Amino acid sequence: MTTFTPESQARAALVRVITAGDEPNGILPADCGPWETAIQQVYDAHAQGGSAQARVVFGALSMAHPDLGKLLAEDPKPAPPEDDADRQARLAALAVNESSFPDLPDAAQLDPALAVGASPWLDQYVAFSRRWSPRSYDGFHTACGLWLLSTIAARRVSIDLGKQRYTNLYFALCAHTSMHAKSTATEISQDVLAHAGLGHLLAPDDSSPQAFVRGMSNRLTADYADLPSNLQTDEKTRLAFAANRGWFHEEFGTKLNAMMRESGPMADYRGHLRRFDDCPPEYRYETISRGTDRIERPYVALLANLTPDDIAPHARKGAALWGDGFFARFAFVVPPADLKPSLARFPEGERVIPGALVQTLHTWHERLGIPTVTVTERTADAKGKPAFDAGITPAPGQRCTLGPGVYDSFYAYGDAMIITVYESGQRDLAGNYARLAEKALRVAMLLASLENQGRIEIRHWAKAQQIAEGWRSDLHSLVDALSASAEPSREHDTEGKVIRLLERGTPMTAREVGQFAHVSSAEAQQVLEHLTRLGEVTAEKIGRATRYGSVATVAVASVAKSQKAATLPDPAPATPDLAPLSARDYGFSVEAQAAQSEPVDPVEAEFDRLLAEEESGGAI
Amino acid sequence: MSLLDEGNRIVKIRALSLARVIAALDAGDAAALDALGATFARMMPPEGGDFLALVARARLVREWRSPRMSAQIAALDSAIVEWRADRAGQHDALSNKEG
Repeated sequence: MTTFTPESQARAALVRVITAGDEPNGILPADCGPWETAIQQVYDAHAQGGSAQARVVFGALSMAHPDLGKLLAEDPKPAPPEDDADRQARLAALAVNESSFPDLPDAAQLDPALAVGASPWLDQYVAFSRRWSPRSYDGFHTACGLWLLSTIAARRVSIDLGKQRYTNLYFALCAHTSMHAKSTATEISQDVLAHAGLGHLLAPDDSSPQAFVRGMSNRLTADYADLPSNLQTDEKTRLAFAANRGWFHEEFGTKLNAMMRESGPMADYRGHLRRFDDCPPEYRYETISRGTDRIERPYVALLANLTPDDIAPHARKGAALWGDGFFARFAFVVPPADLKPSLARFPEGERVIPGALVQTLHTWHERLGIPTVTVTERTADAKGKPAFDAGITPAPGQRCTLGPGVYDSFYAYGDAMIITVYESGQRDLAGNYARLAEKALRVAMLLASLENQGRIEIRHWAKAQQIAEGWRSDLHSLVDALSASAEPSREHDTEGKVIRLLERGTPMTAREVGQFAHVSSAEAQQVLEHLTRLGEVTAEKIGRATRYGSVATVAVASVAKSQKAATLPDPAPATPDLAPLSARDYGFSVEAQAAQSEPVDPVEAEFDRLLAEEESGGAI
Repeated sequence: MSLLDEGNRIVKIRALSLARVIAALDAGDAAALDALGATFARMMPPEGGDFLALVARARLVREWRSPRMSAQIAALDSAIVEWRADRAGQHDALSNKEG
């Protein structure tokens, strides 16, 4: 005879609802003893959103009450379906911390063993860089090695996948100053490049956007005719790769600040860098003072150092650089917040770059071929000085091909990224996630071109995906760090001021907010629009002016008023300065309000309607 | 509905819900929370997350926005417990009625 205990009843209820996904019939919560409340909540969740909702609630409850989780763990057939367990865990984590790192879905997981031996050169480079920059975050070594390869590839390595794709990569090494030795790691990569005799592939350390673009165009130096023949040869060598540059920027934070000033001299970099990442066949840039600069086949591999403090003002939630695709083009390499700074020491003796590291790069560079520069003399200018035109014929380069399984793995990873970011609701990161598979493909192309004649085998892809997953994790480290650092400064920043101001209950125009918060109207406008997008502030158009209000204040007033309306309906707005309010606040039906004014947003109107139904008890 | 539209809709529902959950928590209004939970469940597709996560998020936002109000967090917990208890009571009542 079977004995039913509260534990066995609770376990049976959970197996039915959580494991099997069935209706919660047959077992009453009251029969589950100490688990009555928990089982009741799981049933409630099932009533609201089926098995999926019940599993999420169960996951959250299990975190608070591990004994509840053990009930299912003790069952002989406990495990929910794998895909659902993954989702459940991620959503349970969401309840605790919305910005936590979502795991890679099973469909895109690859056995780490597949990546072994994918790139002996990269392994050797990372080992060398680790030895001579022992305090650097490990991700910096890999990033610097890949930046070297990306620079040397110089638009000569490509693949046909929908369109011709190249191997340009942008890296942002982001860590607190001196804590994780960014600069030492980047110096090593530049030294290796110089030892390979390829220093001419680098762009100047810094320049204005106009000078940067001009330097990439196929213009010969103005004094070409006066140069001795050896310097003319140097100029032709420079020109061969003028449009295909590696760029290292030590103080990219300063550059970022300058770029974000709309009418500042560096603002154009935002557009340039986005466009160059797409590797268009041609890029034209016209200025009134300099005329048109034309770059044929542009390509930039960027390695940028910056600190979280540099990036914080431009990377807040909803910031433009997340949404416009600028940050999406970067691989952020960021030490985890809990990583203690290393105290390792430099080895004694002279740093000697291994010959094999340099030789492999040089051989690869020569194998890819050198663009041909043809200089032709034009008719002399007005002063009788000879003028020259330069034509550049691209190098043959290398077209990569995909080995068995790589095509499907590429799509599995890309699809997984899109689904993951979509489910997480982290819109700011959508661009970064959507481009991770492309970045991984670029890495795989570099590794395969360097050491496998351009044939991308599954080991190259596995290694590339592994690296991209590291960048994804680092991206979350950055977002978490920015989120944490925002807390103490909140009291002092403009957003905090504006929210506190509006929470007093009086809707204001941007100009009024600016006056009271002691900021310019333009800044107030910008902040208000940002907060409106986040749903923290409401905007209501009144005539030609827009008045902003705190959603918290409005909703509190809404609750209070609806309670009042329940006993004494009053169709007249009692406090006209508290706007905007929904229909139920005045005791009107939704239809009555709709007749007075069109709903601003269909989703909001639907939300209001359903909420009114729920509040009136009309919903089934 | 396109993926983008669907994504925008989810974000909109979250923003609307979050703001009103914060207000309901401020007011300690379990009935308002209940109505919001039901509205959320009706509007949000399964991919959009769950209401408990949203409530947890709302608590974080409140704490983050107004550290001075952290003393009230305990009161919010009570409101959530009360809300859940009410839901359980309704479920019982419904079960008894159906039974």
